[in-house]
Amino acid sequence: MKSNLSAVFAVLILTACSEADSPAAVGNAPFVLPASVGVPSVCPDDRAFLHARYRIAAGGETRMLDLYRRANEVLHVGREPDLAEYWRRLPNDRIVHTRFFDDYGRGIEYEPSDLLSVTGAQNWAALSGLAPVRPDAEASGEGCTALADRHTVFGRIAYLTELDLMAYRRTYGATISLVALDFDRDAIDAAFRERDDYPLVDFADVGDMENDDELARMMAKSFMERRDHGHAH
Amino acid sequence: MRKLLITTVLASAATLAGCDGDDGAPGTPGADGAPGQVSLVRQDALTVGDANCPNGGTAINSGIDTDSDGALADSEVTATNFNCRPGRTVLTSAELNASLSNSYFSGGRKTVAATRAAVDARAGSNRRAKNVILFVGDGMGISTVTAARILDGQDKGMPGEENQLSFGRFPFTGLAKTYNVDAQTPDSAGTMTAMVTGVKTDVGTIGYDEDVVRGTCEATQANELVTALELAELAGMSTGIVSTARITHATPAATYAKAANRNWEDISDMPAAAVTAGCKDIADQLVSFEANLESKFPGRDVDGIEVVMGGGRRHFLPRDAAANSPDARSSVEGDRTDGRNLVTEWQAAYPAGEYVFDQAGFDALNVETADKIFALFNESHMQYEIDRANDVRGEPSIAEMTAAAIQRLDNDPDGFFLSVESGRIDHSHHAGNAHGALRDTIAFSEAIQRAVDLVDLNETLIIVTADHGHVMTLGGYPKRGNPILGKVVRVGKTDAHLAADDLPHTTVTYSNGRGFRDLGNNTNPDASYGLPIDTGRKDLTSVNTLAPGFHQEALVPTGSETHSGEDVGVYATGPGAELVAGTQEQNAIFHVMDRAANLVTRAGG
Ligand SMILES: [Zn+2]
Repeated sequence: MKSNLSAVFAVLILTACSEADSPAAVGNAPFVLPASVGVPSVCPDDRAFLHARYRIAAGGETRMLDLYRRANEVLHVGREPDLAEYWRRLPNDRIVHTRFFDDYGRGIEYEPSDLLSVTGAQNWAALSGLAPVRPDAEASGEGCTALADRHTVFGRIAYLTELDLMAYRRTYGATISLVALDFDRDAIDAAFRERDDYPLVDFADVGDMENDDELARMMAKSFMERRDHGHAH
Repeated sequence: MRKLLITTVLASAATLAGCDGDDGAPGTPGADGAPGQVSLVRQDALTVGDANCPNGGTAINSGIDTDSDGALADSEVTATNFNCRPGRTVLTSAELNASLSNSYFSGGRKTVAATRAAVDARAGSNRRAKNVILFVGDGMGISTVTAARILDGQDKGMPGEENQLSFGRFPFTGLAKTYNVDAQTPDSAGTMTAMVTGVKTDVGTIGYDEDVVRGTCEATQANELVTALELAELAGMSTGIVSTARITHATPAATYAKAANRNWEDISDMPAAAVTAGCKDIADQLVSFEANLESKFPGRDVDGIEVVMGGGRRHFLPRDAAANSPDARSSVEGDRTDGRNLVTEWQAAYPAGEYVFDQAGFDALNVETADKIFALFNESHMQYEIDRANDVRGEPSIAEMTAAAIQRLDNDPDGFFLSVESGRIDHSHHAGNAHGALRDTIAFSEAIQRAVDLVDLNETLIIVTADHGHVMTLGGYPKRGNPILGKVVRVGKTDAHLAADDLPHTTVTYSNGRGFRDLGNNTNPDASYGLPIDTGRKDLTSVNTLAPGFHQEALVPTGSETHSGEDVGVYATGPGAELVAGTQEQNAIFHVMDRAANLVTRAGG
């Protein structure tokens, strides 16, 4: 069995269960984002393009996740080894989802769908800002660094309100922390472009590709890793 | 049982002979004579079925009561006459009342009368089909047809089982054996090739016979088959292709393209060796169809396919965002790596033709006056019927596309050939979602009804069939009218039946696939691909199995549910329909169409 980080990560990002505030939390010291993250005091004009790097830690393991946001597209690299996940929001608010298998150089794509309700996350913010639960606490700080911070019965969430981006979350014994942020459009475009040439198949077509052994292995890989998703909604 | 009737007859007692001389003196009295023997007659009643009187009657036996016991024993019978009852030739209506007043009885009688009339109408008729429409439900096996028929009936407020889909009312039906030359359980490429060329071939290959090795370009030219659509073109008929899948997908592709691998939908899907060797991708072959056919048959002038409607834009467009359609789902819609834009190439080749990509464009078509129609409504497959309302810019239904195609094609006095595929029945089954498959089957049935309403069945052969089935089955003793997608409630009961594991079970199940999923109102059957395989028995007690997002239980875990290998139904009406009968090889469908419409001869020029 692979690391359970994938499962932890799925919980961290894709659970939209509302977490009640913890009454015990009142009076705790406010969350402070390290200066090394590089959040500018003045937000760039175009916040639709950003690259956020996170560290996920659970059970003594750590993994880095890169989140690339480009208007109505978002790309997660590092959620699971050799897998990248891409979503694109359509004008009708349906979402196209593609799973890239880096070790095979191929991808499988879903039809546009309200898929998010299936996988547990309920809104675009969960994908583009890792923030399934937007704290309604008052934000402190100025400009781009404005931060809403909330304690919940499961842990804590800190959220950069001007960037619609999670800064820190602790829940189910795992933490995810923003460690770097940039707005370099060329680098962001390059990250998306990196998988542009992957041949894609639709999930709908998998059933008619019975002689494609590599595809069968890709399917098995992605489903095995999903199997340890321990927190279903 | 024997009933003895005795009729006494005067005995023939001894008499003294008289003399002519004087009477002599009286003699002494003689000794007493022996008792007189009596002749008897005995009548035996005979029941129906008797060897001598099949309808029953009486056997009249006569003879001497030699043992003087006053009864005529069998051994004493010396003669027998039979008095037989005449046979019944008429049953009274009172005697048949229970049958005659039964609607199944009268309905069955009407069905047979209609079949008799259809057979009589066709007997000895030399009438040929001017037009041919081939409807193929991809994956629409027998169990799918039955379940869809029941669901459609239940939608209409009926118990459902008594319902008929449009093609269920066709007068002639047979079975097709679907295997491919190298596969017991087939795929669409091999099966559709069989149907449109008359030649069974290998799984995965399109338009070539079995001598071509899947995925290799070698030996393709020598083993190329001619399709019914090509023959129709050569015959000067109008032609059309409609599909809810990508128009480059195996089933529609088999009508116009040759490919050693069904996946060669555009050039980026092909190995470099195949491109170098001169093989062409499927999308290219669609827009180059007219030129290709003319080069294959030198000296012949054809006018190209009049109607093309379906999905699959990505295979026609270059990998360049500048070529995106307004409703592209990907940031770069096109897949082609040769830089060609086949949509604009088609527009250049057919300047009077109309290219549309959404519902508004479709609605604006004047199908009666249009020259050629090229419609690509989706980047990939068109939507599942249950998901169609969610399309960004709207898509026509398969019934709307079928009607538009016929209205365009039937203007040709030389007739037309039209192939219509419901391509997504198959996909929903692969995802293990019966609801989506049945909804697409019902939409397909509606499309077929539209065709029946629009054409003259005296001159149009309509064949409806499937390329193969799926491993969906239905059973478990549900009572009449039980929701077809529901849990089994047995006859006389109101609660779900519990199986031997004390859990309820559904009527519809799959023998393999991804298994159970309760996705509620989700209308995208493919959503289950993002979730783990979950086969085996589940507790469905609190699950709404009628919801569109319910995925039925499956036994054997597979990445996706598979095709099945049993026969499929072939349903036909119009001239030549009577040739669909018995259990035939699937490639016979081509020969039915050819015999009915004389395609090969007409193509001869
Ligand atoms: Zn299939």
